[in-house]
Amino acid sequence: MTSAIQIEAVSRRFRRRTALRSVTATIPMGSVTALVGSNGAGKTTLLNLMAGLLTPSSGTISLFDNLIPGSMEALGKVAYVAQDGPVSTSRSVGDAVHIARAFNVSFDFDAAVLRLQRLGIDLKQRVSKLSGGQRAQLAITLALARTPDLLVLDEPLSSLDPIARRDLLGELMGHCAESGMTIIFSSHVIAELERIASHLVLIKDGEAVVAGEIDELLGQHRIFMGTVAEAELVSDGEGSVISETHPFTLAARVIRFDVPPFANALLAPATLEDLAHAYLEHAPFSSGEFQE
Amino acid sequence: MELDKAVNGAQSDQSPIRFRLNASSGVPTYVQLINQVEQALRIGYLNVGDRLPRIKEVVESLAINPNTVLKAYKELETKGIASGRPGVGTFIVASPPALSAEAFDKLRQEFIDGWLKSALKVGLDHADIITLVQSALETLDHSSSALTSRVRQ
Repeated sequence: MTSAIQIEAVSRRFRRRTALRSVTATIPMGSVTALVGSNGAGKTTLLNLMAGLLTPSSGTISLFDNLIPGSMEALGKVAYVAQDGPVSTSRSVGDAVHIARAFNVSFDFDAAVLRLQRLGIDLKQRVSKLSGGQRAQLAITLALARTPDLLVLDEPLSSLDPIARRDLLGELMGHCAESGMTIIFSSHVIAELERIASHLVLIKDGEAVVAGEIDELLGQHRIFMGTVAEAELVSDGEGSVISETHPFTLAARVIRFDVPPFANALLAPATLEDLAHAYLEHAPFSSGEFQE
Repeated sequence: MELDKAVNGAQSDQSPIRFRLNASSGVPTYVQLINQVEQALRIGYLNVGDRLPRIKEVVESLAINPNTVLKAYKELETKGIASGRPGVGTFIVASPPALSAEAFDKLRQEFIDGWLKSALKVGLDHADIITLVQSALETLDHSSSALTSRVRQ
């Protein structure tokens, strides 16, 4: 499969702080990738690099056939919806749509207007008077109207209510099925992305600790209930124990196998949530939340 | 079939079934889709010649990845139950083996009188029994995945 995004040893520093440390990942065309990590892990920095709003301090990032993010060719193929204040203007919603049309070579004006009407967003309303959720919907509408090959979304669901979240995810999946659009989005809510994502990138303290196809990743990991020592015993030198906090308590341990895991009644299949919690541990997940 | 078409009337382009998901069941999404098609066939809600919902319809209503639906439909094709026609849709071509109501009742009663009663006698509760049945089925699935893929034309 050809890649939509090729990230190679990308690092990004801001003055003294290192936001990303040698991140390498391949995002295939047509995939839906979830970028998961704690607050401040570097998710937004990585998305900004893809959108061309930032440049790497070292390493390379290229889109489709070696396009540089932010270049004219790349801008025609990529739409980015930032997390906060996606559209800021004192003008009306209708004006925002007209401006977006004027600034883009390809722009599906009718689709944008239809979508806003369906969501009950008045075109005459001032953008500054919209609710947070409506403003996010406006930004998503403008991004979708550009019919991008790659859609980059930073926390697209955070300001939407549960029904709107579900509707949006369904709508995005419809676009994927129809046009083969590639989507990458960041989120905290693992349960929501489990059903829509085909690929996962887990970021912890600026490093990509896991990157790959979700089915493959789940196949490589198993859950074992017990102490760390017991988990090591069970993995029999063929796997490594990921969840190591509270080593002496009975807890769900995630074990990663580098060879196909052997059949063992003590080893249960892992879920995406298990994986994310195990790799992002020492982040604010308490062990009590594991069970959910 | 004639009756079906008459009943469906104006919406004959639509598939007779709609999928729903049980998020807490722990059953993979694509397996849930396959199970629902097979169940609909068993109770006669789906028949040979019926179209399955379009992938776009399914992903929009359930908010799931298109590959998940593709995987389910491919599996149904491998089982010989469905067949995809490029640009038209995926259609039912055969039913999974059906069980008569009497045979079903007989098996059920045997299960209750035999294994289930002895399991309760040694003190297993409902959760224990479900776990045991599930793990037994998994063991069986590993050894004979061919068993379930047999299809009655």
